[in-house]
Amino acid sequence: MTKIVFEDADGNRQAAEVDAGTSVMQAAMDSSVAGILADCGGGCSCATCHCFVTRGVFPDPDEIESQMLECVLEPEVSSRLSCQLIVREDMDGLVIKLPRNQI
Amino acid sequence: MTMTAKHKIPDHVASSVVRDVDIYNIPGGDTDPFLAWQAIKNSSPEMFYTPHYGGYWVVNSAELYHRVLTDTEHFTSRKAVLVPDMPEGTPDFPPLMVDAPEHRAFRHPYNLALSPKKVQVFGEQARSVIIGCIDAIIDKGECEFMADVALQVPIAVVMSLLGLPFEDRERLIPLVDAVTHGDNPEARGGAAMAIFAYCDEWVTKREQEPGDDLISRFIKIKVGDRPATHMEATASVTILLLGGLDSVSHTMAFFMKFLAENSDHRQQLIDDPALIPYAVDELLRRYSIVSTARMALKNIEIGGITMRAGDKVIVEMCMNSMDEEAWPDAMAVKFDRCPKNIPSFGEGPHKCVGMNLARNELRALLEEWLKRIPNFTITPGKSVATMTGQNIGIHELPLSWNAA
Repeated sequence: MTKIVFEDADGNRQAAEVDAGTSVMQAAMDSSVAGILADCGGGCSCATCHCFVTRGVFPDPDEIESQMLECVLEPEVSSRLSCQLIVREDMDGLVIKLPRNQI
Repeated sequence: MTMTAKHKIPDHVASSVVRDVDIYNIPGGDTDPFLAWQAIKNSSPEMFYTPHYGGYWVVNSAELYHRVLTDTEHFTSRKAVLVPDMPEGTPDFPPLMVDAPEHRAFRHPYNLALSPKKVQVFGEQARSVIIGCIDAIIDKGECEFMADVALQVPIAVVMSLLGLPFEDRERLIPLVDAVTHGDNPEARGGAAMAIFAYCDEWVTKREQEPGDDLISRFIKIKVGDRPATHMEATASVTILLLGGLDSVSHTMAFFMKFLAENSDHRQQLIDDPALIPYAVDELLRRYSIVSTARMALKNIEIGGITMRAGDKVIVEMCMNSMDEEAWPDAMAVKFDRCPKNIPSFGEGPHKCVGMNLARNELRALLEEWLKRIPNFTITPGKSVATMTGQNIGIHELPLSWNAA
């Protein structure tokens, strides 16, 4: 299991233990993390699983994700859609920051 | 209509799971479609078969709703979404009636156009239309909510999304209404063809003079290596007109009917407007009016029966929203229920792309209306006529209040 830490806009933290190969979005869903809506269920279709993560930790976004990232409420350089981020074993302790609002 | 000899039951369907359910003609559907469906729900197995319109299965639990809508290995949206079937030879309308991987190419322009950021703009546009509608009726002390408000709002938003001239709405409103709620298959089909022809005209226009509107983006869709065809672009526009209008209008009407008849709930929202977003989701759950359908691609054991490849199954969202196991005390509206994964928008790859736009429109309606017309009732002496069918709906909703 790999530990992923979700940090909301106020700095509150919540940890989730996940299997490698799980998406960050799914990890948030399984641990009832309030800041991820994931309306479309993981299809890179809705931009409601927006999160911030240091560039380089995960492979760069593909074209569809990049276009969807332009549609989130307050995009930043570190913006990603968590449904596209697959957890690896070497990521233990990774911090995923969440925006104040998804919609 | 009752079952007759012409309604043949296929060999693989046991008589114990057959029910006489014509979705366009359900006993009690003209006064309370949800009670009417609940009566069927309570007296039917988890998956049952009805021989009407060529025969199809009906999902009767939240669990099967989830399985059918998310299992894309066994179920296809091609040739499947409507009951009865579209006429032989009708092409599949993307993105609604297309499966992966093409589905994604067709859906992507919708995703971008209806993203969280864009939806806020359209929500405000809906709000200004709602304010205009209220301005026009408030001094009269009464209105027919469908014509005066509900049918006016979503079309304004969708026309702007597509870059279509606002004045065309007058001719589109009755057509859109007839597609879902026309009296017979001919009326519904005729209206659908008229809308298709209208969209066809605009796609042609944008092919010649592209803009930065959504129609122009549909035209530029690439499906793998090939460009989308004229027909596919036209179908994408048509689906948006149909999907974004009827469901929102009729949901608005059910919300207002509920609030007219339940002053305690109304007072909660007047006292604390911050509750409105929660009320919107709970009312969406309780009044889930839409249905969709799928066709089995291979034989599958599901809900205690065997579906054969080629069998059709209809998913009435209300069969999930009234499931007591998923939603304890399901018929009660509780604004503090804070429901997660409400069934109104479907699930899986075809989950309603306009769900957050719909939420914004519904929220704007409740906020603006309750601010200015806090106390209202169904007009005394008049009744509300409802209907069942592909979608549940309301023909007319007469509302009254004390004009200042």
